[in-house]
Amino acid sequence: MPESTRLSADAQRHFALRGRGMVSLRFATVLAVIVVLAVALWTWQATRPAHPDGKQEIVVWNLAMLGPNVELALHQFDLENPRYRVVYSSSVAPDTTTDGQRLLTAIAGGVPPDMMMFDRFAIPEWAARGALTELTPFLAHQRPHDPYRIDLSEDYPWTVEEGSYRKPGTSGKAGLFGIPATVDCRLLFCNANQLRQVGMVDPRTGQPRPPRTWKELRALAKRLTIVDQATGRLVRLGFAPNVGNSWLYMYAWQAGGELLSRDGTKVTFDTPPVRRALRFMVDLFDDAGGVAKVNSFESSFQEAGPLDPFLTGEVSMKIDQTWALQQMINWKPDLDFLTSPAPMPADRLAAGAKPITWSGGMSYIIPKGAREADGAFKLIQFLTSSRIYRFLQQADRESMAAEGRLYLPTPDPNRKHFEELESQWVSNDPKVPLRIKQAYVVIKQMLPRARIRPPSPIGQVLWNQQVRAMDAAINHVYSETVKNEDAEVEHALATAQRAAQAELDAFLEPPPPHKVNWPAYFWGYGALIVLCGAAGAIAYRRHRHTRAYKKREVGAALVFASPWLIGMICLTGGPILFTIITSFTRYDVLSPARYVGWQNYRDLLTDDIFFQSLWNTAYMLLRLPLVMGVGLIIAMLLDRSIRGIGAYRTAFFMPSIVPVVASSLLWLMLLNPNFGAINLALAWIFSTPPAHWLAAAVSLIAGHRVEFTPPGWLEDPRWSKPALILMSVWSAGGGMIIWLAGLQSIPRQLYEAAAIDGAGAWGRFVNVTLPMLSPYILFNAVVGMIATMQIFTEAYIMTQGGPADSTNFYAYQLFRSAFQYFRMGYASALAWILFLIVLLLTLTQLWASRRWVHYERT
Amino acid sequence: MSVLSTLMRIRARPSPVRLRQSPPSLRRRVLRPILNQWIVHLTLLTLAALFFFPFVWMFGLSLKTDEEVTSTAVFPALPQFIASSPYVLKADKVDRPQMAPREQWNRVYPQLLSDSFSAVGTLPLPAAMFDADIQPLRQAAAIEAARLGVQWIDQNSWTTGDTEGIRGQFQNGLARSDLPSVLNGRLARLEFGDLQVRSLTGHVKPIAQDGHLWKVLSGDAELVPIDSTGVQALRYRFANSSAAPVVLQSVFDAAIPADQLLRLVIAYKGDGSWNRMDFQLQVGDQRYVSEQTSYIAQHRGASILLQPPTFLDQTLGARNWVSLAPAGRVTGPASPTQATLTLTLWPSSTLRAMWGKFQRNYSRAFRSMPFWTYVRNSLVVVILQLAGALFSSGFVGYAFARLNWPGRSLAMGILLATMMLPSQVTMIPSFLIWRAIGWYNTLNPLWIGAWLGNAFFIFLMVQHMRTIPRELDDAARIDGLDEFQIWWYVMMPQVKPTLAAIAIMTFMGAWNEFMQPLILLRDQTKFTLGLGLFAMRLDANVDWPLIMSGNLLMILPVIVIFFLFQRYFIEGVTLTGMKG
Repeated sequence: MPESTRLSADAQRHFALRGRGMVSLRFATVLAVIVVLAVALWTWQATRPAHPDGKQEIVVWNLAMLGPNVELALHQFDLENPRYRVVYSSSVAPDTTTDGQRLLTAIAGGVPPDMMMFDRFAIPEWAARGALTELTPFLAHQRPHDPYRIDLSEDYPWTVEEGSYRKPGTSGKAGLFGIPATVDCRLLFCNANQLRQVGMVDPRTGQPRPPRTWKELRALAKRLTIVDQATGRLVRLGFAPNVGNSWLYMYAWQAGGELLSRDGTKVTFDTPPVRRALRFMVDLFDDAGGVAKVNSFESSFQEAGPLDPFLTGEVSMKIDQTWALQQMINWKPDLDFLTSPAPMPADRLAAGAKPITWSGGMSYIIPKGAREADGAFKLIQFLTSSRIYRFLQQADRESMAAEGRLYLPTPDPNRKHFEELESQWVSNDPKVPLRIKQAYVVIKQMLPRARIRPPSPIGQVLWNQQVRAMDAAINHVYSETVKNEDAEVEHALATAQRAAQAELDAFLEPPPPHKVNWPAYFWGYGALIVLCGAAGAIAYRRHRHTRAYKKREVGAALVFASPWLIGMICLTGGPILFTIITSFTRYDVLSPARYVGWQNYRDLLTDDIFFQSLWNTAYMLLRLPLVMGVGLIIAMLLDRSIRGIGAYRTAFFMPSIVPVVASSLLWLMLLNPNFGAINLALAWIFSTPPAHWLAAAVSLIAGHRVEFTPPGWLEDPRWSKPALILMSVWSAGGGMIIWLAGLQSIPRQLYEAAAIDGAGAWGRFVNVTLPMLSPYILFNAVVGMIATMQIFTEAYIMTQGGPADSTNFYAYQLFRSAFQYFRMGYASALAWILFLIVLLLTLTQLWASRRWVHYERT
Repeated sequence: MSVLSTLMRIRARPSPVRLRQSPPSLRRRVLRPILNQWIVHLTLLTLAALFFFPFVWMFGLSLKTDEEVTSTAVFPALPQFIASSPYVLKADKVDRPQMAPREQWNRVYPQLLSDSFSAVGTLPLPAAMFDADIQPLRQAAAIEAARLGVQWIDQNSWTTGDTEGIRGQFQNGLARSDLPSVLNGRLARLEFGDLQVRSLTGHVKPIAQDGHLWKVLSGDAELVPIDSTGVQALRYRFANSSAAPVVLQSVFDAAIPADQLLRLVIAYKGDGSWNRMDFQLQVGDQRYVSEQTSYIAQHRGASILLQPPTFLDQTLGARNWVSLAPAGRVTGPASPTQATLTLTLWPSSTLRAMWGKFQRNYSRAFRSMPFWTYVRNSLVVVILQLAGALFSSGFVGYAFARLNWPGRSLAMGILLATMMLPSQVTMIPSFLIWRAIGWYNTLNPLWIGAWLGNAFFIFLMVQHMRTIPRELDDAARIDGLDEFQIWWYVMMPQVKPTLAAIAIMTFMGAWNEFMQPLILLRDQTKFTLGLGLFAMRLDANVDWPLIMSGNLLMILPVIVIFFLFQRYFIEGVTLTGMKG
């Protein structure tokens, strides 16, 4: 064997070097250890907080809402308070609720930021779990003549209420956990030109007029919606509840409903006003041709900016937040639009009810365990002061003015601050267009009577459940289970109500009695390891002679295996044990774990989202044959003597080395329905004659007219998973290399023999290539399956599980349960089920492979 | 398993011999192979183009300005040398309204255009323009105005076919539209608005000198006041692309001395000419020069922030300003707040303009995140992981492949089983462990795992080591080498290919890593590049050219390393794909 002669030559060279080699080995080892230690020490050092000037650091997160000049304001604080230094870092999550994950880990890690801006609606939930510092004492201890004294009586009362928490069903004063920082509200915006075009004008003034009642809104929406008669596609959407920002909450309040009882202990989704509201939403979607059509039409979610469909005139009316005004002024200053309160049911107006709006916004919080809570409160005082509000607004206004744009003051929770500034910059400024002034009149009128989502310890669940009820109803998910639309709505609401109520009850019931005794497990685990060691020792003594163990060899083996043993014991075995135990507990990291038995596993089996995520993940398994097939085809094309093979190989292989973050961002753009390259190409292809012929042929078969249109990809629940599959096919080049190696290892004689036996190209492929490749196919199927079951980053970066939970993959759901809903026990149960599924699938594949995998005997 | 080494060389080989009874005809012998070759090449080329296209597209997008993002072209328009400004911007033709039948539209559109041309023709012309531009400007503005007017036409009028009615509505729309701004919008013109001085304490001082803010020091240029607010348009002409620059100067009272200066804000509206601006500022006796050259990239209003070194240089946010470097002191200023700002406008040759456009988003990407901090963090993780993985896989692999110890086969079974363990299972407890030993928010947890052995790498190593003949280490043992020496001198040199593959895979894995940093790092100063890029994407929001530039910057090292070590990459992947 030529191979072994080469090897021994190598070895001989090394033996010859032995004398000097001893020194150089020691030297190299010492050097390597020193270098690694130095770098390790450096990373350690670099990551320790340094206080060179003896100042106290206030770590602040997530003030992006305050605009680009926030660093200037923080610097002012530094200058005025020499004791402190503010360290600011921005957010790393697609939305503030997701950023909760970072906050939770930081609190659990014992190094939370000292202060941050937080979605106000989430405050009660976090406060209920003891994650936030109560701010009432800080407020009480303010000096009476402090120029930065916070006076909450000047704020809109609901902003304070939303950031307060009291356990549902109890009486007493609610504790305050968040100082209001920003507010928004939702209003109806109408494209005035389009109202004019359909004759929606006030007969007296001749000016366009917005709809005031639900009935008017619905009728107008129908008239403004344009459907392409030929294709059935939407050309313009009059109105749809979810285009913009309005949810079931808002319509329920308009109809006089509530989603949670006053004392916060009962979920009240399934009540007549809420049913009526949801039915109204369903009708609006159905009028426009169904939610699928609206979704595939509406694709503005990823491009707030000049392409917002309201700005391009593709959406005539929308209910949206106040910042939409600034959008319009920025990107389409000449757009003629009307602002008005969202329409109400006519009978409610007749009964004297006033139009309502739904408000939200951000508050400042101090997490539990913040080291500089006093400094953080000082900073909150500073940032909420009239001076800094004006300072920041002024700074933004100047930057806008410098770009020739008009700046609109953002509403402040402090009514006085806001109205003063508004009168100066909007009402009394002759340069501000009339339609903006009119919008601010509506804002000022609506803010005092804004409604908020009820503060609840299960706010996030409540929110998600109302979204699910809405999704189910507007998509007619239950149309086969129940007979009419009213019953569908009722069924959707009742289902969501049950789920939310269960969560609320679980929270309200006294915690399970038994806490987990961690030290016992710890010692038990230690004992187990010692036992394993002892077993090894016994095996050594007993089989020393039969298996020829040598003392030195075993000693050396222990040393050689030690890194892995340590890792196994500390970083794999321990965690596995931990996850097993936590899967039987209720555990939110912040309070002790308590046993709940099989509860988590039972919950999991009754949870629709669990099955949905399982289905989503299973769907993604489809990418395996595709990726392998494409890779194999390319490999077979490349498996021949042609020029430029290296260049081809490089081109095909390159996509597979692109980092996931980068490829996700790239594909987010490529898949953009409006101007992503893929849809541009598809649109061009569909406009060519062959596509028309094909469409005609399909129409003939289908019996109705069919037209090809580019899909909405990541914004359409039906296409989001295929989109991600397409993205993985792009990186099929990695597999191609493996196939190529496999193909080239097939002895040519086999093909020749097959050819002599009269096999054609296909025959040779089926009878020679595939069997010879089968070990590779098996291996890649197993590895690919394991990877697919754990798919996460794509969902996190590109879709956040949406739309309509269609990319909520198993690992993403697990991540969410753990770090967003604090359900570590439930998440651990999910992890174990995942492990079992992977194990089962692998074993099945291995078992089945006996029938089709061909191993060459060597 | 010598399969490994044979598989590692992927080389083109001759196709299988065809066996035939009769000698093939000329057509078969010559034409067919050529045809076959061509078809294969064509298929491969098409496929390769498809696979490569996203890179090209990403590159194209990273070069666009934000005004070009929505255009359908893969690459942005190439800029050219613009010798004189103001100049007229072309207008795209008006799209047919959705409800208008095609023939109807073709008939009515010319009439509408002539209506709009006469409406625009009566308007006063924008200031500062060259006479030759008047007619083209009116034509372009007429098209833009028509676009506005069409929006006022009732959608149902199109189907009734009442041309006069349509024209009436159109003219009504024109009458209500802001036609002067349409006309102005078609003229690319460099305009300078007011200057603001901002102090370190946040105070703002606008500097307005009733329209005489700037004066031309040299060059073929002229400042024309264009409205009552003091905005001045610059009309300039360069004889050729290497002509002398136009120099403008403004002398004003900054109201604060140099050591209190945060920034100077220059409001301007670009002419999209890609000509370049450099700045010199003198406040009191302190002189500054700009460190970056500003290309005039856009048409819309914008502002240039000139900023000497301040506390903001230490923050992690986007640096959207032009840095001023202190350039010594001069003697004899009139007062400590007296300021002189000099703007030098250089012509950009076509080549220069292209370079400006090429590098614009990339330099923005560098300045909108602490890029080098991220790179440093990523490198630390990559280097330590590489060292760790190379050491541990070989070291532990030796124990499994060569040494005989009780419990080895059981341990091997456990090792293989852990390869199947989803990382999510240990995600939460590992986090708690790192927290407990104080390594939350440090880079250590990101690389320490590599030192303790990765199951898959150990497995690869064991597989390879088992193929090495035992005679080698027996001989070494007889020569008196101990196990460590055998490992180092005999084993490690033999498994170099696997080590290379492991190195490549570790590098890729470490550079890719997202979930671990996401959970374990708190401070932006510790982010790795992947996480940092994601954070920037959230900040940049819809600034896709910027995001794509950052993206390419992240991909670039991988691609470079790929080209340098292509062989090892391919071997690595081949190894990964090998059967167990």
